[in-house]
Amino acid sequence: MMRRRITRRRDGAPGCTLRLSAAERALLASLPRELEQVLAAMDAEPDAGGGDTGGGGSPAGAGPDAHLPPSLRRLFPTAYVRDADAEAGFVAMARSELLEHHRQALRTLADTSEATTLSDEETQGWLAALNDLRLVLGTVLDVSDSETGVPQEPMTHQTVVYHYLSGLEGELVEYLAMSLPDPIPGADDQIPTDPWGEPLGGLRWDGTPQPTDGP
Amino acid sequence: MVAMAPPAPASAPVELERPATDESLAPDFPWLVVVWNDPINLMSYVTFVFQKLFGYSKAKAHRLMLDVHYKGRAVVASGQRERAEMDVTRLHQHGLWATMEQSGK
Repeated sequence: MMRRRITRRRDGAPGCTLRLSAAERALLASLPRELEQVLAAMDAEPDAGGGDTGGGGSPAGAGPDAHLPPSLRRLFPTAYVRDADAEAGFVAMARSELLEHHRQALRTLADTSEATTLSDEETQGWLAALNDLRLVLGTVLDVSDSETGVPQEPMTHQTVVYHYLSGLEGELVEYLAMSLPDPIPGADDQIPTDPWGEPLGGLRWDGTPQPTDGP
Repeated sequence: MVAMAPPAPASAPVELERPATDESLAPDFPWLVVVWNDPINLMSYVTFVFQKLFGYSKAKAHRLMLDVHYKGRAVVASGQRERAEMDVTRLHQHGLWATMEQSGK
């Protein structure tokens, strides 16, 4: 069993202690810069403000983000899969904030990559940044299943990084889960049962056909 | 239950404006927030996000995560359109594949 890299602070102060090697810290400092370069494509996206969506009748998944690479689209999912106009409104409302959310998390990770302790807020930023990095890398690697579908061969640099991020994120989740507040009374009872016998119109999150090989 | 530090805010409060659509014609059915199966997000992470954002118990959050994983999707919240959009926004900020649909359609 590996020694835990993320633990509570011994002095009882809020936040965690990080035990990472110099190589890990160097990696965690460099990855945000790489993803930030990818995110720069969003600044050049002329329709980010909710412009032409390709026509109200077109599938939302083929709409304003169709020109973006899948790895980038993964960070900006579609909210309305069957309503291009509503999706355009949603993008106009939420896109810039979502982009800034991604960037803020990357900045936090880069700025604190040498830190030995993190505040709770910084720890949340690390989790968001690591998850974004995994999403992009996993999409590039065409990961097919979160538990079993991680490619083992060939063991490329990207694959090694993906495995590393998975392990570190798992530790972060475990750490942060210890500080979750008690469940909200009654919250568990407020979810309606799934009203559909079949997937939503055969579409999934990005407007592409829902796979039919599920149970 | 360990109560160390106060929970970090799920995200900055969001002022959401209702998109200008033809919703005035739609009946007042609640909107459902759906999370879709995801081959990359860690199962423990998805469970954690459901607990953090919606205040579910770990057991409930875990069951919803399993629904997402094995059934391909799960309804994780419902309510007025503005609330559903806020939930979807927060789920997107956490990297989950979330969509919204009005029930009764």
